[in-house]
Amino acid sequence: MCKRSLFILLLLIGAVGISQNKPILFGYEDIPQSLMVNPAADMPQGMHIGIPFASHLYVHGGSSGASVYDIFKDEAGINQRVTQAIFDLKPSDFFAANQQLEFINFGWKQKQSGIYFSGGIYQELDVMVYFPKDLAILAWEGNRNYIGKAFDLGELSVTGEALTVFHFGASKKVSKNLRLGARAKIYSSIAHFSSTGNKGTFTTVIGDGTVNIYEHLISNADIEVRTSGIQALSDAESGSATVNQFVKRGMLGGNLGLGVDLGMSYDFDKHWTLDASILDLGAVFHTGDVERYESKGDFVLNGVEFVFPALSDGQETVDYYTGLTDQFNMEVPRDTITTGYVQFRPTKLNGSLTYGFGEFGEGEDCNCLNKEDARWREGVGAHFYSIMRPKRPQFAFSVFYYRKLTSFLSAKVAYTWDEYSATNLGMGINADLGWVNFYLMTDNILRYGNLAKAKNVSLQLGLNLKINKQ
Amino acid sequence: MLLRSLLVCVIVATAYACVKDTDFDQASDIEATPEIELDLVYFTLTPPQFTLDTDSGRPISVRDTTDIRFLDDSFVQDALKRVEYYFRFSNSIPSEFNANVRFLNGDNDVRYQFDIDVAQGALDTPVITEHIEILATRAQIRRITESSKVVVRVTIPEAPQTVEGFLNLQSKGTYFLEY
Repeated sequence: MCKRSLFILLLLIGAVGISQNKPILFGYEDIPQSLMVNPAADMPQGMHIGIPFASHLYVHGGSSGASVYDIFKDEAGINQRVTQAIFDLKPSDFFAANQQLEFINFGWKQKQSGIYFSGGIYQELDVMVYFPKDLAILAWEGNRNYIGKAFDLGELSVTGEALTVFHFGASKKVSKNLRLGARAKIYSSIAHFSSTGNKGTFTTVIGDGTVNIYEHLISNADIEVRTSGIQALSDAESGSATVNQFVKRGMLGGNLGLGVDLGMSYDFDKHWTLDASILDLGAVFHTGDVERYESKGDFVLNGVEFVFPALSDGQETVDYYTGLTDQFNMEVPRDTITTGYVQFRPTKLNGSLTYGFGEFGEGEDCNCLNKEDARWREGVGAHFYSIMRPKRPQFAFSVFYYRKLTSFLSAKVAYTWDEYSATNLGMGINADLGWVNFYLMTDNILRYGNLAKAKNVSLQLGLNLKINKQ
Repeated sequence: MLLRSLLVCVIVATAYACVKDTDFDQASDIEATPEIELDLVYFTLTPPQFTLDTDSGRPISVRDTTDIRFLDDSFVQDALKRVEYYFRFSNSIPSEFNANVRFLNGDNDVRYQFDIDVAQGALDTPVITEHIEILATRAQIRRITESSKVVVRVTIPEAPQTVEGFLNLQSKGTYFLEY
């Protein structure tokens, strides 16, 4: 049975080998939102206004390891498949979800200077969870068959944030071949949590000369969970109060941050163009409603030692259990602190090299790859993407082909390799119907026959008004 | 032409994208079955700790107790399916012992108990006595998860003839969970 659950699946498992990679949107200058991935993008129109709350919706999430089908295939033996997945996945595998919704987006070209100004507000949700393999094995199978194995507590690595971004930028051609762009951003954090850079091991060793059968060892534990805004949201006493708090924090009422996007576009010659950008070079400064939980230390558990004290009638026995928990709390103290912290945003790098070709025929109205001297109908090239993540940067590489199909319709396909998938074919279309601009992009169309088998699915779409096309 | 055809295919595919050959109801069948090894209690007794009660002439015993509060935790009560307790006595005292192990609830009512006869030891060669207590029936599991204390009473039938030697206990539990 075929279920129409595209959106549900996108929300639940979505895309990403590499989240927020937008190889189709990057350099797709028919779409005003291409300014959001390269502030130096060359806008063909004189002005654009995004339809509020509909100019850009982006959902993206997924798993670098197992697909939904790998677990939930319609066959018996789901527990064996979960076991298989736990052992197949690596600690570097991850689950990620990213969502963006533009509230407003606008831009205009100032005729005297030729600068294209743009600005807007969008909301973003980003969650990244690395697979804590050792902890999963411990929870799934226990320690019985793993005596002597050091379970790595450092594999616990998660981040998540919800924020609103206020931005304003400019794109200007500064020489015959070079266009530069920049975008300033104010981050308004709604909520943030992270637990990264953890250390420590848990080991059960069989005793040889030890006081009991085993020794349960916590060694060099150093675990921290940082949260901001969570308490304010959870303290809200009703659904509407939660929404109010959410909106307040998103509209500059919470912790703030600053960032910048930088971009460039350089024409080597009539055909070849290099585009590059660095996005979200900035940080959020969490100073209010902060709660950080820290736990560090070493501990050895051997069970409870009976000392058989000589007690008189009515005398209390020794409270070994409380003594043990007190000793644990002393040797592995858990502190809650409210000191602020700085959270660096996941910075992204984009770069592409494009070869434009194929002029439009006489009388055809086309902006195409509008490089002043060359109005190319088609473009082919390669795109590189990287995003900073807690454990290490992630990379993706795409090749793409762009074509203006008619005076109002264009399309772009991209084939992406990343660390976990080599079969990601994505495609986008853009239509300009009068002033109305509509675009739709999606990844992994080879898996559309059964999205459950996809580890990567993303969708972005939007509506704008493009006015006074040039 | 190729791109236009592909474009049509994409639009159609997007509209008809589907999830099939999957059964999400299986999520309720997912069950972790961890088997947890955990030390329980340990001690070393020496003959002078068994002092003769000359008035009563009864066998001499010592006892001690500790809370084990995790056992009656609601999660454990739901998830615990089987327990195996392993006791290993090492006895170098030339005397037999009886060890009585009791699990008590918060009101000190006995919910489960068993006895272990510890073999007579030898000063130069400690004798090992092992005992595995398996609790696998629903009634046994219910009793053990109603418990929050364990008491060990060690009894010697008559006063030891020496002050040398020791009686050592090491113990652990294996908890089989399903959740």
